Amino acid sequence: MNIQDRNAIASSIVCALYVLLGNAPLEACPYCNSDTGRSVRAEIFGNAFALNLGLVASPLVVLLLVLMVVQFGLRTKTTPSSPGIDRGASHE
Amino acid sequence: MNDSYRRRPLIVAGTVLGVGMGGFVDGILFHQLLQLHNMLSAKYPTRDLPYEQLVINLEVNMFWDGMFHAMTWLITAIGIFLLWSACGRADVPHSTQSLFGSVCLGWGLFNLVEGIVDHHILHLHHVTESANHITWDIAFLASGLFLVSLGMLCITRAKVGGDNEALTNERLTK
Repeated sequence: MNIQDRNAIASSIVCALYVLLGNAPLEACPYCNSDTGRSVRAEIFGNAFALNLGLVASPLVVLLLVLMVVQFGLRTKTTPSSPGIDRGASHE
Repeated sequence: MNDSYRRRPLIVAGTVLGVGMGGFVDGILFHQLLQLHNMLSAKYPTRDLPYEQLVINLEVNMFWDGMFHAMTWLITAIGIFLLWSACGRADVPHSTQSLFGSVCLGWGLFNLVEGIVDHHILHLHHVTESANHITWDIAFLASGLFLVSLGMLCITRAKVGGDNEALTNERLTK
């Protein structure tokens, strides 16, 4: 690796660090730089966050539970599968 | 081994995929394209508000719409994994009608459960945030019942004999 390549790599790293650690990400944050943004952040990540997360997830959790009962709960009432028949996902 | 037992991995995979895709239909069609409601639009209204509060509520709803889409993406990914596993099993017949039926079943289950839980129990949102939302909410439940019925019909009437049966037997003997 010659000196020019090293300089190019060093410059790239400095630029990347400037972008990552400088003001650019902060300026791209819609929750950070305005009164409206701060109000939005307060509404989303306030006291109701966990409650809202639970509310949004609730129907999908119910559905997954129903499907798990179908998959695992009913299997015991039928004949067991033949051992060794499952070849997994090896059908590339 | 009976036929319904052999098809179960395929049916479960298709149903999980149907739940995920039903969630995407809801999110993409109702939340984004038609903008009839958002995830928490009964809690954070998005109509007839002062401009600043409207922007805040829209952004809050956009966040929770994103969270909902992330969850439906996860469920769809699980469905793809289950389908891949089912397809790798020699004892599971590759029945297109069963897969189609189970996707309809999952979509219908999504509409029923999401409709009952979100629209009628928790009142997070309604299909339309208007005075006569109950009509549309019931139509949404009816669509769920229709899709579940269609799915069950396809699954129970699916033919896995004939060529498919021969193919399955051939795969089993390998």
